[in-house]
Amino acid sequence: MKYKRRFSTWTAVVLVVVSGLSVGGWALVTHGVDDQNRALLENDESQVVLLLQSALQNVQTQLRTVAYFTVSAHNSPQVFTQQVQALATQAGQSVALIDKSGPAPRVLLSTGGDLRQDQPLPSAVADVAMHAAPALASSLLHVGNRALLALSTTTPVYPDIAAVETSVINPGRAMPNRRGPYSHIYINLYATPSGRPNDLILTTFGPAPLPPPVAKSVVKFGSIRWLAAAAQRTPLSGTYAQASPWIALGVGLLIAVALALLVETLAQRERHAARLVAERTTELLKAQQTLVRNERLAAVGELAAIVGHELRNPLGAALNDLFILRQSLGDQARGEVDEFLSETERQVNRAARLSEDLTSYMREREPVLTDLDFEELVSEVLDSTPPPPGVAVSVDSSAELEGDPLLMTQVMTNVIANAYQAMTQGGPLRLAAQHEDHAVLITVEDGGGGFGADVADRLFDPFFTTRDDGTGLGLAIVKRLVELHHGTVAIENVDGGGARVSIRIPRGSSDRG
Amino acid sequence: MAQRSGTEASGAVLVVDNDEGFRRSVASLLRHDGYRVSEAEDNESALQILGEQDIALLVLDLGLPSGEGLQLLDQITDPPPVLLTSGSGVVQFEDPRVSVFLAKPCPPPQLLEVVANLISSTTSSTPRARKKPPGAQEEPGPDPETR
Repeated sequence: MKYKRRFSTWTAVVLVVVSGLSVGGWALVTHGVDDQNRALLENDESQVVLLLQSALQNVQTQLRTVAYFTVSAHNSPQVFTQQVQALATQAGQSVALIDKSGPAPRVLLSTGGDLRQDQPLPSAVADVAMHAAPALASSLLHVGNRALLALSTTTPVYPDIAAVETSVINPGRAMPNRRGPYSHIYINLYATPSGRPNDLILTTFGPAPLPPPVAKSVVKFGSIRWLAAAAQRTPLSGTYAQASPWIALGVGLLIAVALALLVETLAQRERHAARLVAERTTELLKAQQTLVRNERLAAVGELAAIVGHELRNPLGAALNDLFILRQSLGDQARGEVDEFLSETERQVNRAARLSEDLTSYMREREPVLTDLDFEELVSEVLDSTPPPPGVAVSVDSSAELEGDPLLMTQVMTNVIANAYQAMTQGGPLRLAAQHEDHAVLITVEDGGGGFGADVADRLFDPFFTTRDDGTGLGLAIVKRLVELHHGTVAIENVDGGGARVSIRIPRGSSDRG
Repeated sequence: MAQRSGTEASGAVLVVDNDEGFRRSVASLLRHDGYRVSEAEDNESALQILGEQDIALLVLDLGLPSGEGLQLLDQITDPPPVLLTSGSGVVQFEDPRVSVFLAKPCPPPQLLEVVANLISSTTSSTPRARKKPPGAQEEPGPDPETR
């Protein structure tokens, strides 16, 4: 019988399909969360750009104001200082008004460390001043080992006067923005729209590339074209939204496992039930076959008993009449007459034996148990059923058994007669009885040819015989009578030919003292 | 031929069996062997014959289904020896009124031998059987047989 598979196909299908759906759900939600993050980032970044533009607007206005009022006041240092206060608020910032009408720029007034009235302008700054225009412009300059961001403009009223502001920048160092309205994003600001690393003006993240996703847009003001890049410091959509794909995946996988277990349990139950049904069906079929067989045998037995009984009177009459005939004929019974008479007697006797067997088979009565000496029992049987020529009987026993004398005599007679018939060539016939636990084991081992394996099951069936002249009831009667004693009988072939009948008759079943 | 001198000096053998073929054959066998034989096919005619004749031996069929042959014995006092036959094979029972039991069919020589033994034991010692007709009085046995 094939043993069950480890898992059913349905279990695997459910596991794969539901797991696949879970992974799909995870991907979908992840994509959605990413989209949301990107949208939020772009929104924040556009606000930052607006802020930057507004700041640049502010710077332009202030630079123009400084230039206008100072020049209008005939380059009054007091006015310049007063106006600049609003602009140069940090260390590292310098502001200057530069006259660019001559061949070389000339600093009119200045404040801060990088744009000095009494010193020539660094060439890069001079270049910025010479190209200053009303539209605010920016330049990233390297003066010595310092980086400067220069912003320049002119007023429409005094186009030859350039207002320039420089700020020392340190793009390699992050400017942390741990607080404030945009502390949740990183911002990089580049002095060119292409956003090369060398153009970095400002970073809140550091020199390394920003972590994706990155939102970029160009800051346009005047002739300024800067690039602002933003990245999220923490997921903008919130930790729950960020975790939701994984929660969906985890829940989905749990459901997949649970469903698979459920399906597997159901499948196993179904297999178990199917197996049980098959087993029960087999058992029922077997039981039914046994029942039918037993009923058939019982019916046959009953019929046999009736026939046997009904035959007794006519057979008895025929035997008596034949006897009278034989007596009456006396010496006249010669030749053919004697031959036919003998044959008739033989056949009627045979029929009489059959009727005896038929009745014996169905006789039901409780055995009357007494102690029986096996040797005596066998001796009586051998007296009434002497061995044919060539058969040497040996008896080995001093056992006593509990049995019904009449019934056990018939049992032994039938078994021994059966053995005789198997020993057509003669040989030894061994009879033995020995005590076992609560029983006596009787064995009758003949020196005949044994029996074929194909008939082994049927040897105790009524009317089963392998001989032409057998009634097929001898061993069937043995079985019945032994079972009336609550005993068992079995037959087997022995090594070297011959068959052995083993009869177990229990002891101690009677309540005699 | 084992012809016996039968029962000239003794009573007859009464064969009671409802199977006509068997009854007739047993009667023939016994007659052939020299006995006086009467036949009865049921208990009633048997009682009648028992009342009328001197019966030395009763060959009685156990009968079916419940041993109605034995009921005959209940109806007679001081019955003769009884040879009980049965068509049900060898049966085991204990009834002191039955002398010998034989299963049908039994070999004729055995039947004759048993009958001879019973007759001889009867004639040597036991008193004769008497019938007890239904509702009738006892008829004392006048002539105990001797051989």
